[in-house]
Amino acid sequence: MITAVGEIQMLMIARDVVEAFGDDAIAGDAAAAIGTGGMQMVSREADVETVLERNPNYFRDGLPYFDGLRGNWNFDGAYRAAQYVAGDADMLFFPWLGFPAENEAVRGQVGEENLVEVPMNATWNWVAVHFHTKVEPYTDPRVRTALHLATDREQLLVTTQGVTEIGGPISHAIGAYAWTPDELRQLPGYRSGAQREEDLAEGRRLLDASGYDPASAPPMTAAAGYGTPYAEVMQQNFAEIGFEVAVQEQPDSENNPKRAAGEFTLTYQGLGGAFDPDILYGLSHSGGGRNFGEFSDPEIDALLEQGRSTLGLENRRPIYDEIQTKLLDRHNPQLYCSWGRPVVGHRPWLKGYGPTNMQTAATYRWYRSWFEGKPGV
Amino acid sequence: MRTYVIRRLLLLPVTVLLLSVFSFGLVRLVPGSVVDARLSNTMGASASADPEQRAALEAHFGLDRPVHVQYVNWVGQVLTGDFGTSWLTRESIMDTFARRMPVTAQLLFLTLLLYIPIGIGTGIWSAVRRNRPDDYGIRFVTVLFLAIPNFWLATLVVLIPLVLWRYALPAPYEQLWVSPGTNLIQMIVPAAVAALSGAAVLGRLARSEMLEVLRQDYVRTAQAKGVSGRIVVMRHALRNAMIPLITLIGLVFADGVAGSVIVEQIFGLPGMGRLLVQSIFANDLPVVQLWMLFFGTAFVLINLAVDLSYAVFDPRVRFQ
Repeated sequence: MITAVGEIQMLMIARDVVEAFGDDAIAGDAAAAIGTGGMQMVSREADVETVLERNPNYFRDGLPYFDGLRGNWNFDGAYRAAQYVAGDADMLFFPWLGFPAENEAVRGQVGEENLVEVPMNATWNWVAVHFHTKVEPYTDPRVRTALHLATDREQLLVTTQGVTEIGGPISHAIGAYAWTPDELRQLPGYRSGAQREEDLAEGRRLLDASGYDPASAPPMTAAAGYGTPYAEVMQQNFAEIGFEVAVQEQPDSENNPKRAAGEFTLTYQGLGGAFDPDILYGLSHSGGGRNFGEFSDPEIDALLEQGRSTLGLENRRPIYDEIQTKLLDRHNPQLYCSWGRPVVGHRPWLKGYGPTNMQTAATYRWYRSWFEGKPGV
Repeated sequence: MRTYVIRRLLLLPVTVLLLSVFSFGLVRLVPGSVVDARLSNTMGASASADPEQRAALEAHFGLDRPVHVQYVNWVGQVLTGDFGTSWLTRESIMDTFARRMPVTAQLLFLTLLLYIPIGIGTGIWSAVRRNRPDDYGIRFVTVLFLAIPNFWLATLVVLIPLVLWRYALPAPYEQLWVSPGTNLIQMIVPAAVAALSGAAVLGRLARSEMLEVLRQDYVRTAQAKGVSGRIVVMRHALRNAMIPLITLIGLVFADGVAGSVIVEQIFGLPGMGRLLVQSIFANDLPVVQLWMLFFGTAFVLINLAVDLSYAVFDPRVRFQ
């Protein structure tokens, strides 16, 4: 809860403003917000530029160090890299989670010493496949588990061009509760080599036991563009255990609402936002708001309710360990594949910048950042 | 002539009306809606699980009414000067257009400024110097620019100076009246990129038209009378070669607007093209439909001007 309240999307609005103008009138209007952060908005042009200035009423004495910030937004990677390499920008938010190849190109231009890479916490863009658990053949957990065992996470990592890390139900950014990539690589479905062959054999056995009709699977839908390559990898993986499924592309604007409305059978799509293990409540509890595939299991429900009503890391951790174990071993309402690994880069003279545990990659610790040795400053 | 102009002007409202139907209908054919996007992205909730919230959002955006009612309301608002507000930014669309339009207008102006002299100049030169080395050179270059997509050219223009000299165009965007020098540097390169592929088309057409005209008897007569080559080309030949070229120059407006969508994105210019991309991604229908109506109407008017200009270049044209 505290983390959620501290999210950058959470705006604190004066009560009299809400009463005067209503929720709708002020939603999204940064000028109506009472900023408690180190910086406050001067101007913003969506998708173009944001100008911030120092908040004179910031509660931390003497901070922030910067008088202001100017963010220049552009989705074109060449343009943004050019600004950084030419020295017109002190920080570069790499596009779309930070492709290593692009990082490499920028580093090659400016030199190793001029690009400080800051890995952000992988709390967003969960690459996942959602099963609709009320639609054949995914009503049978053996089919879902078989597909979990068939999914080659290492191959998916290659497909995502290194911008993700292998992930389980809980993002490893929530370090205390999550299983690390190395831990996951010891588990069925995440293993490589001879052990993967064992997983595939078990997948085939489960699929046979389910009585699955190879001709019965409706197509897997995927967001056109970014989703298709991953869906195609999974299609190949599934075929290794005899599960044939077609991939049907549809625009994000169509795929996303359809998933939200439960109009799918098997859909590939990223899903953002994780800062507490309680994210699993939304995804896997029978009353969860993100439980698009209508998964329902009384035991999992009870554990999730217990998890959100239990205080203390040591008390909660065993609950979430049990939930993750049960989800992966028996239920697999979603295929947990990977979490994003966003990276930002900055010039060496920018000091004090670091990742936070927030939902989005672009985490802002500007209040305690400063320049040291920047030419001309 | 007058009758023709009046007839064209009378047709204008009908054309714009059809354009408005097209603009309004086309954006609604795109799958998904702002309500779905808000429910599934922002709220993270299942749209079907909360019909009240869905209904409230649909009512808020006016999507709960029949489509024809939405259309009539929209047209009524536009006719009374109320262009609505963006669903994404909640800002008046006219304010947004007023801020973004000068960028695109300047880009288009500079594009035309480069496009016409480059296109016609190379075409004339190539025709006059037919089958000589400079003609071959020009033809090679024009074919090259015809073959290069402008998004690729734009990316090269960004990356090559960067790799060679660590130079990037200044950023972020500065307005012309705030920092004219910086603004011109920021605008002239994208304009050149936008102009070059169009100029290549114009150059090819100008060359073939000029060659056609230069073979005419009256040109030969003028040459036989001892009229200087420059006067023959500029006064006698070019004017007669201009008709098809003017048609093409009229079309470049549409090309320029379409190209601005790419060029503004790559060069970080906050113009109308970038606004369109942003609005489409955000399902911001009021902005998209007004954008289409606005540029569609401008295109109709420019083509009218092009049609009327035929009479200036060719007095035989009487618009009967």
